[in-house]
Amino acid sequence: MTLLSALILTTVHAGSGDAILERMDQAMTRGTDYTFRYEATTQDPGRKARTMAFSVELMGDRRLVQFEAPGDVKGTRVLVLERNQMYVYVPAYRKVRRVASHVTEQGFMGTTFSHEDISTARYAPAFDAELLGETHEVWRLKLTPRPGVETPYAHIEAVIVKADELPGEMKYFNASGELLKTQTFEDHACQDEICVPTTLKMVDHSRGDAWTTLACSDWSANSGLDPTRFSVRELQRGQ
Amino acid sequence: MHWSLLTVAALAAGPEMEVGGSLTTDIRYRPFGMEAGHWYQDLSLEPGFTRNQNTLNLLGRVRGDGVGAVVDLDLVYLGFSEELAGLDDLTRREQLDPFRFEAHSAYVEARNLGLKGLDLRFGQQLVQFGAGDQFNPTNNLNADDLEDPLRFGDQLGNIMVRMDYSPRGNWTGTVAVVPVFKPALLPATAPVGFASTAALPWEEPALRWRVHSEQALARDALGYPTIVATATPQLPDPTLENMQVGVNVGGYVGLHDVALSYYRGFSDFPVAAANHTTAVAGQQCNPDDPEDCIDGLLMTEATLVYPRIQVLGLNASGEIGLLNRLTPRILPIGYRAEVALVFPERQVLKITQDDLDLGFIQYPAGEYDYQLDGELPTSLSDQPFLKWVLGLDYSFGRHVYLNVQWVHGLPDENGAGAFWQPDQWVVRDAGMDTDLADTTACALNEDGELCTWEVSRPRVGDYLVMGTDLMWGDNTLRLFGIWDMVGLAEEHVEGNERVRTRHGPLSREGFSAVLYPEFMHNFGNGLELGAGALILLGQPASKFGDPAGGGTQLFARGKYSF
Repeated sequence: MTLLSALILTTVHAGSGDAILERMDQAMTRGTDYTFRYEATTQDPGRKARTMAFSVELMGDRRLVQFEAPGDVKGTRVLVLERNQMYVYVPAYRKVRRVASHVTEQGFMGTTFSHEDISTARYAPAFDAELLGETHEVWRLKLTPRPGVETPYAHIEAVIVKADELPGEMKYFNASGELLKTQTFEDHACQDEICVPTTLKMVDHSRGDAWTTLACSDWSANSGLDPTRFSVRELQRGQ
Repeated sequence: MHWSLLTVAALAAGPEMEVGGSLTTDIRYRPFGMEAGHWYQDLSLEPGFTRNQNTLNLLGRVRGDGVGAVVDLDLVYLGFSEELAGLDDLTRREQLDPFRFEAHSAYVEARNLGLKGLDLRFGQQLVQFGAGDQFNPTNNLNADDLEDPLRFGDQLGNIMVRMDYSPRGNWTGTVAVVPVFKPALLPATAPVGFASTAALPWEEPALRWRVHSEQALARDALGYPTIVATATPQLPDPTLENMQVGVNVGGYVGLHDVALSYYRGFSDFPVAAANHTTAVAGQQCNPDDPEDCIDGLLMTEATLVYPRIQVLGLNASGEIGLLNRLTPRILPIGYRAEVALVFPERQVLKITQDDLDLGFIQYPAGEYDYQLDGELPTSLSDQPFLKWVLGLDYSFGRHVYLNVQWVHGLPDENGAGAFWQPDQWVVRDAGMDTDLADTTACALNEDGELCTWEVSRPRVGDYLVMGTDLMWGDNTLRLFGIWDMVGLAEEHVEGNERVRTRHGPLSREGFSAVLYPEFMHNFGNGLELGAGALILLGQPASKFGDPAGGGTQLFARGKYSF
């Protein structure tokens, strides 16, 4: 690519929604790999709050979720290879099963996050982005699914923080324009050049504003995870 | 020793350790009795508590640098005292409070053993092949654990050596070798099957009809009914030749998981290999009817063996988006397909007897004259047969999950004789269509064809399995059912011919099903309580109405996981 053409492309895309979304993806996946440990709290209206503990390992689009508490989910492992390719190992069945698309709208392990929500590592390959506006601090984008992409959301309104290019808020809408969920990404923390939101909250408006917060108690990046951990084979290990 | 050193080395390097488990309480009650057998061999099931069990499961994993170990054990307190033979037994805790251990897993493993992606696992373990839900005809390395009907699909751990190799992350080749065969564990009510003396276990119809008429003559004219006194399984010898081997190559192509497998070993359900009959004289009368007396019993001792089989397997799972193309509101439907082509080794049956002196008829000691041109009767033919599972599942929003499967062949069903092979069906019940004089003539002429009626069903049946989970809040209502889709065939003598009548799955005679509703509530923090029923429906000769299945049970159970 010549310098001129690169300059032209940069000029064309620098302020476009797609380019901003690409930058958000890059900011969220800047590390080669990530490891998070979360405490999850879910509160449904009128019910007792429930807590879970799990770890998440990420490498590119792939992620491995391992549940540690409470006891009835302990040992459950979920592997996401792509947005529509997910496997689960449930200790009670001692077997690995593929998670079909039709369960993607169900709450992930009883939380307000859906399988779809937790399986999306990068948005740009799946969504077109339109810049709705910006302030000194944030960009506001409207994301619509690219042709052929299956997602329960007709569009997403994303607020991206300019300082670290991480998402600050995402609102998920259905085809009727109804607001289904609101996700906030708070307490951004950085290690060297890598920044992550350490508190995630998803409010499900279709569940009476039930919410789940994921509070990150520990995280690291570029720790040299073995890529083979992100395989169906790995789920089968330890059966 | 080598493995121990590996594990110790890993521990020294600072292994990851994980400990967990659960405590489960399980109480069950049989609300209705089930009659089985005759007054001279009463095998009826009485109403009452059938399970009163506490199970402590302990799971431990250690994972070091390239090595690991797993222990998954159940300590089961049975909750019923052993049969007490005397006052001394009241002084023995093991008699009053019996328990047992179950080892699901106890193995060590080494990873990347000289080659990246090559793992070796050695010890007590479960090696699971198959894409079906609970019904896995290609999954043969571990024996089925049918001791608890509510844990259908469980298997028994066994000691084996397993090697996996993944040259690329998506594909894995697995080879497992099982040195010593372990048979299926059967429900406690399985011996009730002894009541089915008419279910003669060989394929040759003329020989069956003849033996039926001879048994009827012995019972009705000579006062010597036949009973099955014992059934002794003979396990394959623990030799190199009898080792089981399983091979599986699996991975994914696009969004579809596929696997091919091969198994060489033994069926974990036995077939009859020998019947030996002894006459035991001794007059006794029905306690409820003094006119109903017998002069003795023909006691059959059966020997059971585990036939050799080879199984080629094909598994596929993924999702189908046909309806999704019509409207995006319908998400792709999950599918599972599992096909097993089974090549059994022919198993024959030898029938012998002691001197049988039944009054005016005597049979000399020795082997029965089968009249099969020198051949022995066949208890399992070597004709290959298929077992398969085709399943679909779908979630309707957040609250409803539906799973539908067509199952051709349950784990205990083996042999050629599917619904399209009615001549090879298995006999479930039989009797005489004739009066005593004609029965006597049939027996003495050694030809029971025009005397005997039989009820039969496919050796490998077809079942519609449906399950749905209705979920709200912390509650789940699970409705699960299995419906025999073939039913029964009845064959009677009419005039000088045998007439076969089919009783379909909707008929009173042919209907047979399992209903399994369960309500579960999750209290959070690992505590779950549930209650439900296992309802077995059908005539005694049907698949699920058979008293050997244990009958209908109500249950309540609680589980705390930690």
